[in-house]
Amino acid sequence: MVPLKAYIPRRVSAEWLRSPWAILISGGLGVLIGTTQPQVALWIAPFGTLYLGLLKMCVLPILLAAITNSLGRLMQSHDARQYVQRIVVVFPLSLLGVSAIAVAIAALAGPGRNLTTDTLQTLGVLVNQSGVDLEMALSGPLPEASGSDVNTLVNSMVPDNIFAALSEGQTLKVLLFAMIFGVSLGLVKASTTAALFDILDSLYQAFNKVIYGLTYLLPFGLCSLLAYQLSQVGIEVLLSMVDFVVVAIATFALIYLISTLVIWRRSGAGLWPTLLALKDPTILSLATSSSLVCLPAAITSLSDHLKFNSQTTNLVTPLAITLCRFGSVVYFASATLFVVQLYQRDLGLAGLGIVIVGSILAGMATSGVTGILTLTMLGLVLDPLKLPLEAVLVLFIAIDPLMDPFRTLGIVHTGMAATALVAEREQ
Amino acid sequence: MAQKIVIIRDPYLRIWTRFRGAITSEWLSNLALGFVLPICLGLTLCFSDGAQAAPKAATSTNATATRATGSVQARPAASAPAPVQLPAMPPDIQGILERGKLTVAVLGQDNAPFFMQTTEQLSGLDIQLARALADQLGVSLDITRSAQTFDQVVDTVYGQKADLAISKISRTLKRAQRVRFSRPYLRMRQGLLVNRLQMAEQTQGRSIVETIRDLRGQVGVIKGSSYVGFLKQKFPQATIVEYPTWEDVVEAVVQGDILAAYRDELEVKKVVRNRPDAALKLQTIALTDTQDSLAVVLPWSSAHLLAFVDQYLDTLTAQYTVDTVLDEYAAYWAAQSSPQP
Repeated sequence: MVPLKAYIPRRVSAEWLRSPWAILISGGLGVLIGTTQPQVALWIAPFGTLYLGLLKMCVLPILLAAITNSLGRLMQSHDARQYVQRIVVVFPLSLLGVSAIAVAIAALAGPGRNLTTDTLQTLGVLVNQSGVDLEMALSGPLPEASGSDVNTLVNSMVPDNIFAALSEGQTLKVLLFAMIFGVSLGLVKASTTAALFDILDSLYQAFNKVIYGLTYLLPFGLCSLLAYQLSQVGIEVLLSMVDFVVVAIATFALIYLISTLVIWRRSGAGLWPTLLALKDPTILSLATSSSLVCLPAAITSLSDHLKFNSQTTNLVTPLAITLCRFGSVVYFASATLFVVQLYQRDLGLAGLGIVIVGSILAGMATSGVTGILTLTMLGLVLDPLKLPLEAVLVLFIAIDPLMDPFRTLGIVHTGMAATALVAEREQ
Repeated sequence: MAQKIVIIRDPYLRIWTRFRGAITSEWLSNLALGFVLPICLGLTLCFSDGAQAAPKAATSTNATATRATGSVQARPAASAPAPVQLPAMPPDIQGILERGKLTVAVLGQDNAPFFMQTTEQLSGLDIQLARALADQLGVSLDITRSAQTFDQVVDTVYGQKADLAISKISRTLKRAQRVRFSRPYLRMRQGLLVNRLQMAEQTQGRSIVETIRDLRGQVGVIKGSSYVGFLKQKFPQATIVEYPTWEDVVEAVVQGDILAAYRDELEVKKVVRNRPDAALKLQTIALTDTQDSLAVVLPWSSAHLLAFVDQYLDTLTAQYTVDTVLDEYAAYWAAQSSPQP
């Protein structure tokens, strides 16, 4: 009897969907639609949302399973101390380095310096349109102050109810819970824990399969997401802030290059295989503007394709991406210097030091928040410099649809580089 | 009163005629007399009492009427009104109708968007309102612009050199002692124009609302304007810096020489709209629990014209706010700001 298999066409190959060409073409199409056909961009936007939703669905289970599992096994294998030491050295140093590079570039290029009256007028019209007029009473109770300080970061870290944190998608809380759970699980010296480790492992594998399957949809998602995002950028504002946008993107590009070099050297693989392995997280972060969504792809890329120790990668990549927020640090450093030069303030070396450290704090503080609140963290840097936030915030919000993908790329890619510095290659 | 007597006398006569035939014997006539006399007496008493009471009431009701009409007549016989003739029209309105024009006082210098000379004619919110009032009265509009300060505009009206003034005049109690104000046609609040950079220096971790309530530092106002007094009252900690014109105050804020400028919210918002290049440096603040309302000024004797103006303002369907006024004249600003370097 002829097996059933013979009647089915020999595998409808969908592999072409995963080729760099497909991604390149769909990306180009997305840019084209986004810049020329905003209406079409709106029509195809739901597909991008669907794609993003499916990816996000897998993030929390993977985060929980990967961290708990790897931290638990790490505790059992007794070489935890070595990794903790490395993390403690690598994370702060890389943060400082990245922040300093961004400050140096922005200080040299000087975005926001000597803007023409026309440019200032365009920006001013935008500020006026957004209605930042303040209405206040001279008497009566003080209005509630919206918290955007270090307290918010602390509050967003400790989960008093892990299920609430999971259902509300509060990543930092889930991260902290997973770490505590993983450490304590590793400390339990009973054979029964093996079953739980296996469950976590299979959970992780299962969702990784979903993520892998979703990469076939990446070209469609990419096109739709890019088109929608670009259609949201105000072209006029973009032109007025073009020097800042160019400097920021150049900074991101330089740091991307450095990170790629680091990963390449540490992986020991050839340059081309390294670049191929980095393709997925790069495209995904540009398309989705969500660092968490790229987390599974980043882990897979490091552990499966570049053959880093999977246990370490599983643990360190989520930490690097959710806590270090390299992209936000870079962006805040550039943005702060833009504001400083816009208001013609002379900082001096001490001031630049404040920018470097402040940007790191502000960048890390974004890990607990999403959306526009991310940008308000810029206040953490501007406050000590005695610079006003409200007016420029409007400008940054206007160009954010364009800057967010690059910021996400910075977060994911440099996070992977930091992981590569911590993790050893699989023997 | 006469009717009353007839009604009362009638039964008396009837009784008399009925008994007349019956008076045949002495005792009967005596008996009849004994009946009739007390009845007569009783009736007479009743009648005299009522007659006394009735005029009393009449005089008391007429007393007020006497005072009002000025006539000495105390008799209620004057059931028709006193023959004093009221004028057919209120004198203030009649004067305007006879002249055929409504004279409106407006400040000599332009103050957009309230009154400004465009290429051909005067235009602006105040001029629009004046024109509408003249149309409603069915007369032509005559605008007199001799006054050079807001107080001189009020003086023009007080001296009856104009029927009314619509000239961005704020209602103040001091002015209200000499002239009458209509209902406000534009309710504004007081505003602050703050230099953001100077403000950031001041906040020191406090919210901007807290900082403003305890405003310290230099605040600019127009020399001799009512805002000098407001500033002392609302922001006692602030240092007053007086400038000759509003343009000077604004320039000082933009340059960062002073922390803030203090005037009505419309002037404050106007600055940011007219100079978008400075908008990044400036923050406008409207103080919600203060007010600066604009109203039409009338001579204190023009009671009826005041009622007319108030009623017209009531019937206006669109109530003006600072933002609607600024939006309505946005095109004017755009045209104004573009030729400037």
